[in-house]
Amino acid sequence: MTDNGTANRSLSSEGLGVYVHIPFCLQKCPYCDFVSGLFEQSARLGYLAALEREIRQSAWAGRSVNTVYFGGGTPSELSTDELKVLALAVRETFAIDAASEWSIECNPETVAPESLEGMSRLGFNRISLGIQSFQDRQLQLLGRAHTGEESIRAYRLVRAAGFENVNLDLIFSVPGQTLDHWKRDVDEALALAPEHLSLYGLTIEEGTGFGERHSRGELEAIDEEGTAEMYEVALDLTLESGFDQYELSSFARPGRACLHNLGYWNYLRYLGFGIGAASFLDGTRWTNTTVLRDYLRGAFSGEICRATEKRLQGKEALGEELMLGLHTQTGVSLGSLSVRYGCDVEQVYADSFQLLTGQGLIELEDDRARLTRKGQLVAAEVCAEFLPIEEPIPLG
Amino acid sequence: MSLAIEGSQDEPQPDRSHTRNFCIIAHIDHGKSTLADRFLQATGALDPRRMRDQVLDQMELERERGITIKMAAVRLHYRSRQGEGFELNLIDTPGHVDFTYEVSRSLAACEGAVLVVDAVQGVEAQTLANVNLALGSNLNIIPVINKIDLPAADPERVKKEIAETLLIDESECLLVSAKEGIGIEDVLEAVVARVPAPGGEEAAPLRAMVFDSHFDPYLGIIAYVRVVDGAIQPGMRLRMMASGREAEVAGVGVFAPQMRATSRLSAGQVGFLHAGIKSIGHCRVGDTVTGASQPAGAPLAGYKQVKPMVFCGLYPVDSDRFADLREGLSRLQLNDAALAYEPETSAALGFGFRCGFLGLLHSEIVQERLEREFDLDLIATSPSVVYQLTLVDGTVAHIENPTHWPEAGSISKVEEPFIMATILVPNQYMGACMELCIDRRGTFSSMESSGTNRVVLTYQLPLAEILLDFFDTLKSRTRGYASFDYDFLGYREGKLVKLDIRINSEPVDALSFITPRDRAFPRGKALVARLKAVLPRQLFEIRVQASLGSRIIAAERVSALRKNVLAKCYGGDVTRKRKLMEKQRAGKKRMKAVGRVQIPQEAFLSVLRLGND
Repeated sequence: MTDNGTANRSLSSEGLGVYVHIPFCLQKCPYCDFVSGLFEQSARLGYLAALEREIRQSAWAGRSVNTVYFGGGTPSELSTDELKVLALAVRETFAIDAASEWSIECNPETVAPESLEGMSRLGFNRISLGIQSFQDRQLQLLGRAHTGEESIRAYRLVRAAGFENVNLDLIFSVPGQTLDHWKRDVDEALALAPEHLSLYGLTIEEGTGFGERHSRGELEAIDEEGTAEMYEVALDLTLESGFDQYELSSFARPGRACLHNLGYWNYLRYLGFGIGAASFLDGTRWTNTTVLRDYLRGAFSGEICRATEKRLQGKEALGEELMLGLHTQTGVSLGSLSVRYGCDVEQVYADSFQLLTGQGLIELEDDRARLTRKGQLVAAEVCAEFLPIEEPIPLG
Repeated sequence: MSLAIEGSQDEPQPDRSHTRNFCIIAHIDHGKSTLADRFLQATGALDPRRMRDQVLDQMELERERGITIKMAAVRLHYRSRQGEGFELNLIDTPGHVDFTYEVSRSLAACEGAVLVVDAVQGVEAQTLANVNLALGSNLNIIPVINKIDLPAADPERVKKEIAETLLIDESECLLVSAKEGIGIEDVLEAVVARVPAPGGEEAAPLRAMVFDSHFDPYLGIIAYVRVVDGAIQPGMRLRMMASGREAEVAGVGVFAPQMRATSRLSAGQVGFLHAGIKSIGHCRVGDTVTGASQPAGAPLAGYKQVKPMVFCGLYPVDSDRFADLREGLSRLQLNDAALAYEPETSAALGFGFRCGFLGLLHSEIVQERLEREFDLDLIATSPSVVYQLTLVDGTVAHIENPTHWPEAGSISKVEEPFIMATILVPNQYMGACMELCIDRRGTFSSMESSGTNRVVLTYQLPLAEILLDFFDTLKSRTRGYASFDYDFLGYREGKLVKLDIRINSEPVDALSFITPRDRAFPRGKALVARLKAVLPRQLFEIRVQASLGSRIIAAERVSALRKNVLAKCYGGDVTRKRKLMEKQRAGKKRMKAVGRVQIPQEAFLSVLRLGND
């Protein structure tokens, strides 16, 4: 694999990423634990007005922006007029780079030639299709409103509308899914020849429909071995097709990594707009309130309350940068971290590095630390090693 | 003045010939507390509006478990059928084997005992033990067959059992239903007629026995006393004959049933005193109270300092709560002289306390109260008895914590405490009981029939063998029909070794336990298998080994984690992603780390379940 994307993005270290959250869904997927759902018409109009206001009133208006990402929920559910209001708000508020990347998430059932044409006109140059699977039985289980056939049709429409940068989302480790099902999903996706693939393992979260069914024993999660096999087969299939795995769940043809996504992992700055949206700027991470009423009130009064806010400093910032950087194929440069944080990073985490390299989970090479293939499989555990939490119990 | 004590209202003191001091003894669930409540009702000691079921059981936990842990005493005014007024002092007794000594002291404060036997269950092991204690205190026993209202009641059969097993004449038995209020007055009449009036010399130097106490935050220790000779009044200087402490009496009173101050307590009476004593250790159950200026020549017989028999380590799951655990233990100890604790440190569990208890039930009650009243999550290590070790150099060591067990080479002799177990069981379950006793290293002692279809088995057993789950197993193998009681016998030599558990070569002290040499292999094997099942997989392989000294006798491996699902990073919400990781870590924080291995609480519990193997 090659170093894909980081170089491109480095030019933009002065620029921001902008994320705009569209929480509307036609139906709520039983595995989704994100701020999204069904909106009544009045709430929907109120939300869109608030969102526009929030963007236009941003304290960082005028800053240079090089990636824009409309996510959800279902942004493709917006009418072209609604989308236009928001896109214009972003354009008119920030200094948009000429070569900026504009992504929008679309669900296959909402894709139509007119709306795609609208997106293109508004400057979107990257489409992310939430396909999840090509198999209808699995789509039903996942509570998706589309079929495999509709996904293929949507993909063709996207291409027909002239988009040259397309991502497909697929999901694995779904209850009832076999290795063979998954292989077929990946093969079908590859056959469509997208520029980008996002392959996610299903997490059964508490408080979701899946979580409840799981706790009642009605839903059997795929076991560890099965999940590992699915992940590994995906690594092999994408590699054979010329994709780079530039991040644990993200695969792209050379030069087609999602710059906005890379920003998250490379500790770059971004602003999130909308309910529950996350931002990282000036050393502080925060998320907007997840309560609709509070969000609306905040947007119109000029101050949106935050659900979380954390200023990152010292070892905590270092740990997080390491944790995030390890998600990427290129890993992190310990030398550059050491210089920036004024400490010997390898020394600070000597115990963790010793354990992780000893177990073959991380490799240290030319001052870069990166996950091995074995380490990728247990990335959450490995990365958690660097989160600054006090040791559980002193010995003796 | 505490609100708990009502103002002084001296009533005319009945002469001693019209005083009766008695208690109720019964096997658990035979209806002691219900009968006591009926007495209170029948004598008007209780306003019906204030009546809650089972007034004598004060603690919530007692109510829930249906057992009496702390005794209480109540003064009842009873007008007999002949029209004479009597003062009846009812002294409640704790209903479990762990509290035998406390039972014996409250019996010693009485002249008579009402023995309650369930009309369905009949005589049980604890009935036997209680009757023996009561006879040891020379009490007159009034046998009462309770629950005669139940469809399955068979009072005639139970009468025969009482006659055959307890050698009490059938004609003395009274038939009662405490629940339905049947025969209550007959029992009170029998108390008046059959229980002798208290003796003692009012003119002699004061001797009063402490049979219980509780801690009042304003007044200090409230001692429950039976005055044998002389009298106590406020202002008098007292001496505790065993502890040697002196104090000035601040107040005396009676239980009516709420505490009510009186001007004095004299020979034959039962009541309370408080003298600003702050520590329960200075006013122990069984001690004799005398006057400092005119002390009695000899204390009353029967005092002994209760010694904890069972020890285990208690550790807060969250190590930050060590101080809260200490606070909880010290608060409980105010009312519980038998509870002992001292700080200890475990390499695996951090800071905690080695706690001593009278028995298993006592330990369970203390743990439950700590968890409930002080909101603590606790890890309890495997309970241990006190082993007596003679070392090669001739010194004798008492070891209550396997961690302190010396090197095998330095030990010349190991002795462990033995008990005499009395088991009462229907004939058809006799075999199952004997099997269990043999399995637990028991030695047969005797067998007698009790009534037509039951036997009384006695076995000598190591105390350590009944600590884990003996009683539960006994109950399950006899479908709940067996009853069980025990007495301490003394120390006996045994071939015992310490079994250590190592996780990735590091010994985990809290998992060590003492076992007979010939059972070390199967127990070691069973334990490592259980640990393998409960240890969560980690980034590296975990080796679990059982060893005797440096010799590995059993081993298992927990393979490394292979794949976890990576949570999606929704819209760049790194905080949320981090929280998921932190949550996972917080879950680990509730575990204890040995080296790099996280050990969940269940691992420590798995040692406790080994008794089954």
